[in-house]
Amino acid sequence: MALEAAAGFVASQQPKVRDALLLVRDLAGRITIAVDDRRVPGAVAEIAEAVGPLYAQLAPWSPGATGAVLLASRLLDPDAIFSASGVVTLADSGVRLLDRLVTGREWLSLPPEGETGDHPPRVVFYGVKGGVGRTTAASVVALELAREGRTVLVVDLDLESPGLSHALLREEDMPARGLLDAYVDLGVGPLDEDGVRDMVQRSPVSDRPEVDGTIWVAPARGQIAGDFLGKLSRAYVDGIGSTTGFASRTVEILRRLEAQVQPDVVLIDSRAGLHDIAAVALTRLNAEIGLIFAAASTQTWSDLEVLFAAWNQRGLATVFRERLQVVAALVPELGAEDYQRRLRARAHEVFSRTLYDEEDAASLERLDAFNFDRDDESAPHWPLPVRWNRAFFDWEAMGEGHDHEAFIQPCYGELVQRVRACLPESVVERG
Amino acid sequence: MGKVNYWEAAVRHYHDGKVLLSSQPVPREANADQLFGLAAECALKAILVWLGVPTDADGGVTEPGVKKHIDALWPEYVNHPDGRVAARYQVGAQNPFHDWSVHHRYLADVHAGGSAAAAHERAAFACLLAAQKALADHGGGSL
Repeated sequence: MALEAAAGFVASQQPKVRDALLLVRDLAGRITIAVDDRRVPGAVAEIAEAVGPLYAQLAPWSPGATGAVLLASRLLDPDAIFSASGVVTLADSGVRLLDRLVTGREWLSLPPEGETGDHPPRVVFYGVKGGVGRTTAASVVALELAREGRTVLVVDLDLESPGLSHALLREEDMPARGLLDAYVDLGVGPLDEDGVRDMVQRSPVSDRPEVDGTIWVAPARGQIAGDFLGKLSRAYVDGIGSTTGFASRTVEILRRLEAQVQPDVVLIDSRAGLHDIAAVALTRLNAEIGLIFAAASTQTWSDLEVLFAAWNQRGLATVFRERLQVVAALVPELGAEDYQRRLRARAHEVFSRTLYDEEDAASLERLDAFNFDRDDESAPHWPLPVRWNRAFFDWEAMGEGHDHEAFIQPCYGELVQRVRACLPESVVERG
Repeated sequence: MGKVNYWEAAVRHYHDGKVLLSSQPVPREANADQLFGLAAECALKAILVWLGVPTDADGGVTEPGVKKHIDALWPEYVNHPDGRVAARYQVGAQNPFHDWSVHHRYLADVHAGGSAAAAHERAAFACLLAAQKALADHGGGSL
């Protein structure tokens, strides 16, 4: 693997030289050796000669056999590269890497220092594959929490194929603007108060007699569609200056919505797939819990392993792993136990390979080692079951029939309880 | 004609512009200003080349729309097909070099410009930063 070979090259240098080297992986995945020759001016010639064979070995993942090293002295602003906030230290080798990816880069860095945690509890619903009932589950949880008298803010961060907004709002309820508009606006300036007010709408579900609380919905897209594809592109673009990156905008939008609605809890529906949004949602929002809706399929776990391995490689696993919870989406009626056993085994395998600490003598000594047995119910990999039932097949939160109610507890009870456990004690005292 | 390298040229022009600007007893603004315009031009062309605009055998850009000096190049650059990648190297829609002209180099001292040298220096710096970003994004070693 190119990265391993390049890291090996750097790791094999003398300590003083090693500390002045940086791997730069460009947008195409090619790896360049960068030398901070302000620190080791005498070593440049030797390194430049040694990288020739390295680049030849790495081809095509290198600037080519005749490629050069990137020198600090030739740059206008060397610290923008050598001290970039995106530089991470590879867990295995201790070698530093700057990854220039257009997508996926922001989510691989640590939560912003400014995120003080002074916000209502946030719960992220995340699924690597679509169609696993994530949106239905989020609607059910919103409904149950609102039934108990809470003010629930539902944020539909699935910008490209919003589902949750449509589950909780009728077409005529849709606010003028959606989250997408806010992302675009934040690319050029701050959000004004009217703009925030126009982005969120009360769900008619709140008017049901059995619902004591309120559900507010911030949909992905508003009534005024405009140039959808253009907006989508601009939403993902980094603005001029680091404070307008996608992650920062997401945090700002949430803060403004929370200030507007004053919710007891925020449920965030996140895009399925290994994309910016899902990854941002999990890592920058200081979420109480990231619910990973997963089927038992090989594909799902293959994708999740890629995601977890990426965190692990960059030494970020320790930051996020404690907030994760696997949810067994769509546990079948027939063969439920067998299904859950398979899913549990697969989940444990992947978590053990990526996010859990190594099970060796040293870690067994440590009380704070982060690993769990396969059948440990308190483990993040231990799948919380959501049971499929035909009652929910075409269930709509806003629907007339209440036949499903008998099935909420058996199907979603554990999930609702898990979310409830993230919240402060009951809201009965409130007004 | 040798091999074109817009990035190296941009850095060279910028540094030399700063040398002239800090010269004693009197800053040599007119020519410093010319160099900042040249630096910005090369920086934007470097980015365009990395983004894939067509070049000749020596590496020079060939598109008529882009074969311009900075005063006319800026709007061409800003309006260049916007992709997710191109948008990373934005320099702002307002053209800070609208009052810069290559013709200043032929004029009498009094008309040779230079009063905007400081502003042009800052604008050139911003262009070079964007180009540096693009450099790292596109296999930084192969200059």
